[in-house]
Amino acid sequence: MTVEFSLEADGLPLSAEEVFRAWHCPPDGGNAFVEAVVERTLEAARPRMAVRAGYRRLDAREIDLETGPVIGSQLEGASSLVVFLVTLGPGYDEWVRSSFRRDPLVGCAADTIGSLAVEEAAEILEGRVDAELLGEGLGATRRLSPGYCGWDVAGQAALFAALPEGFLGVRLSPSFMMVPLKSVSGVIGAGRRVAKRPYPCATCGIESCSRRRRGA
Amino acid sequence: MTREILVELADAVAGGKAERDSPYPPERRGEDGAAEICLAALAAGVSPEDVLRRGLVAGMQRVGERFARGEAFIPEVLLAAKAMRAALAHLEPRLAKEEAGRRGTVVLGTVAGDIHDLGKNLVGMVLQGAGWRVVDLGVDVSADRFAQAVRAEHPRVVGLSALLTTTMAHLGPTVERLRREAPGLPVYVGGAPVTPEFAERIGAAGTFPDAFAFARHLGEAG
Ligand code: B12
Ligand code: SF4
Repeated sequence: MTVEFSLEADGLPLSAEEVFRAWHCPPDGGNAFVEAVVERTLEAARPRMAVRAGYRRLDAREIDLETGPVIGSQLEGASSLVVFLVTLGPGYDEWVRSSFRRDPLVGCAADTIGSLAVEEAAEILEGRVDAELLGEGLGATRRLSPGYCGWDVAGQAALFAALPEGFLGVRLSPSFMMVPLKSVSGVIGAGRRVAKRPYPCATCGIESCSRRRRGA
Repeated sequence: MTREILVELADAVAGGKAERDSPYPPERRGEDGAAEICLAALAAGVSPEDVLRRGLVAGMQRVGERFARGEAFIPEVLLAAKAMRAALAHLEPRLAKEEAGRRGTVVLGTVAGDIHDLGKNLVGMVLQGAGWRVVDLGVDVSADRFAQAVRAEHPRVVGLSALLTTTMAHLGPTVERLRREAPGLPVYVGGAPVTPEFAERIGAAGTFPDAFAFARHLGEAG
């Protein structure tokens, strides 16, 4: 079963404060002018996002995602796997680029806002999948992505192979980078015997991980 | 007079005052910005080399040092860079003729299969602010295109950027290609997953975790 949907950019919980947190700045960015610039960039950013999300649910026996041991243990016992993708669409990347050329502060704000937005979209998608599974009396793991928690980025190949060709307009480069840039891929395990377990952050060296920062 | 106007220029850059009409910083509304001061310095006969080194580079360096000490945050650096660019737009045509005033050329690009360019763009911006001429080849740049640019631009340094471990796999072959093209030309690599051990293994000249550390190193090296 494949599901695709659009998300309203206005509905994504984004704030200037989040941008400043990502930049390790004080909550107002240091001064009122900077705060106003980032607020304005946030307003300008939303209409440029064409947020698309989607997933496909497969029998766990149908695919081997070559996740490695850490993710493998998170997914253990899953009877089906929900392979997902979210993206801000192609226009956003170009807007970030042209903004940076005009004004580096606006460009960097646009970039960070896009990264936060696509992560928020993934959060919303995870919530929808959870609700759908719950309705069937099934549990769900957290969302897990290639390139995180010890899963090789090359795992993108198996993920994309499980999705319809050209899904949401996202393309994978020969070295497994998604185009548009502001895209996130991953998998959620589903079944009667799976549950949301903490990410294995204590044993992971990735200090700058956004999921770690969320207190995962 | 020369000294004063250059101090004023460095102050405008460090303070992020780009042009007279710029709204930032609010307390300097209506005052001349880096663009006007740069033009005034050139009109007063200050050499483009001094305007670059003792004005723009000095101003950017001051912000860089404050950032490194944790006294300035990213937005201030970006505002300073905007002011630096506003002045550089006037200086650039004069500098082309006065190549001696610059540190030399850096060729930058994001490797094949990779379209992430924010890190590379920041590196380019900071190197410009440190007095380098920057030739930015953009994203998804093949080893051959890097080699072509090396032939055409005669850079003193090349910088390659990659975001993911999988796109990082293109760094090694690109470094190798450039070593054949221009033996002895230092090729630096960078991006989130790049470590010093990896850089050494592929025969790169080195790596730096951020743009300022890279600019400082290049400054010290030459
Ligand atoms: C923001 C972010 C995203 C954003 C957008 C990407 C973007 N940058 O626009 C989103 C949320 C969309 C995202 C998605 C993904 N991401 Co991501 N992302 C990040 C994050 C948090 C920051 C990247 C960034 O923009 N930094 C800001 C810029 C300015 O920094 P920078 O590019 O590193 O550049 C600086 C330095 O590296 C250096 N530098 C850069 N180039 C050069 C060159 C030279 C010569 C030198 C000397 C220095 C230098 O100077 C620059 C400025 O100071 C990093 C983690 C991190 N801390 O880096 C992960 C990270 C890059 N992502 C990662 C992964 C795995 C992914 C995904 C594959 C996850 C997935 N399966 O969906 C996708 C891939 C997206 C795609 N299109 O293919 C991994 C990569 C790990 C790996 N093994 O390769 C990282 C490292 C996180 C982690 N796990 O540790 N990501
Ligand atoms: S810090 Fe935690 S969530 Fe982030 S990659 Fe590591 S284990 Fe995964």
